[in-house]
Amino acid sequence: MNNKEFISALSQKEGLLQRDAQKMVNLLVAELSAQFENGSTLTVQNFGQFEVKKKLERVVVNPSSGQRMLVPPKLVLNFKAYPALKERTQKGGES
Amino acid sequence: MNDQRLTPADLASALARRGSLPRRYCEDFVRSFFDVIEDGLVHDNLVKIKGFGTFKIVDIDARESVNVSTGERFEIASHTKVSFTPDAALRDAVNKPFVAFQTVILNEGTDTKDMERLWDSVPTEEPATVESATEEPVAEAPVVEEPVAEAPVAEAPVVEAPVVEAPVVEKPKAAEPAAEKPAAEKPAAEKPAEKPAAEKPAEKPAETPAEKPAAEVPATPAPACEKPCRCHCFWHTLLWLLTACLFLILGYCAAYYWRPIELPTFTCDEPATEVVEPTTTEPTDSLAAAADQGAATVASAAKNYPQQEDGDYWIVGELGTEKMTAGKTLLNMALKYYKDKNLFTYICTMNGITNPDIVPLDMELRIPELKDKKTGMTPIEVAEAAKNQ
Repeated sequence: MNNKEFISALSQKEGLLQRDAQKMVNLLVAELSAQFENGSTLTVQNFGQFEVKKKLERVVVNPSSGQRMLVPPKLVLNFKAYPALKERTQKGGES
Repeated sequence: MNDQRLTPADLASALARRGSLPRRYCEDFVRSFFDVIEDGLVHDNLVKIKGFGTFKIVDIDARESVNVSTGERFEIASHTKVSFTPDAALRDAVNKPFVAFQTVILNEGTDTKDMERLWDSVPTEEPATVESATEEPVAEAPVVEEPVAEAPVAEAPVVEAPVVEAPVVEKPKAAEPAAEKPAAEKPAAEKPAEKPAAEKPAEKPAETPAEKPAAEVPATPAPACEKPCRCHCFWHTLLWLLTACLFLILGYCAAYYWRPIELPTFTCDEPATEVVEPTTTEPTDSLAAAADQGAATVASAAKNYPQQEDGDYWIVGELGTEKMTAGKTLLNMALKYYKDKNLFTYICTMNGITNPDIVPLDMELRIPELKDKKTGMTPIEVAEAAKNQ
């Protein structure tokens, strides 16, 4: 499901025009982005948790050349699916 | 950073504010947003949202694993996992605070162990330290010398002062290698500051400059431009100050431990020791006798009240009563009457409270008067005596 299909599915569900649905999604994404920039955690019941995590700097080795590189620390947006979502996706995959 | 925990409701109200839309509508929209993602995942195994990211269902093969507690081997069945990859725009937005950092290629012979320790002492906001794993450490070394040279000169007398006070500690060593090579000054200076908790910092710098001065220099921060340069000056002065403080504390400790050793040698020389002994023993005897007597009377008084078997105190009387009202706790009362919150158990014993977490409101609590089982002192007196010792 790409962005277009997602928008059309959302517009059908909400009874909106696709254009309006896209606008709303853009607004929501902008809001989410601003929140995650502040380091907030978003918890959605029966879905999952979005969390900003700090990854420490580390040294990696290129296996072919043996060159060592220092990867800097970074902040990463992490998503953790809750059991409810896991269960449903599992069932969907089987059927 | 406001590390808030958000719920869809918070998100909806923020969205309503942002787009000046009705709140209820936003709530509904946020809910269906995640519902549609879920539907898409179930039917398509993949949902792509522009500007946000991609949700994907990933198959994970069955694999063998070992039960940690029993050591038994078992198989983790194949299953699926929901993965989320943030869009490039969102990923960069989240990583904004660390955008200055870049992956650096490390030279051979760069001691990463040392770097890690350096990281511990230097806060991560300093971008210069990442760049400090430089490609040409030899070429930059003379540049490094300049800003650092000021600090040691200025602080040197402070550092040496404790050496005069307490010659026991092997501090002179620190001065020797530092004098040998100007280049060795830096590692010698940095080491003790990095590990202020180490008891004898002098030993470390004495070894390291001799063994691997070449490895030390590239690992230490080499400022690339003016701004980090000033930054480093600041950090170096800070490190020096810390070192100076540490040495002063060590000196003080050494002086403190020395005194008791010297004193007996003085008294041994003089014949006054015999006179001193009886005078010191007598008061302690009488004190002990008085304490015993006190303890006996206390023990007899204690019979009238419920006692706590394993405690240090007898309950010998009543200091008064206190009404349990909202906001009061047993701990607070113990603190008020005995200056020791741990003694709240005696209040429980006195009033027959079995569960200190549940005390009925408006209950009249009798506050017990406590006397130490050995000395007959009140808890406040015991605390003061302990403080005076």
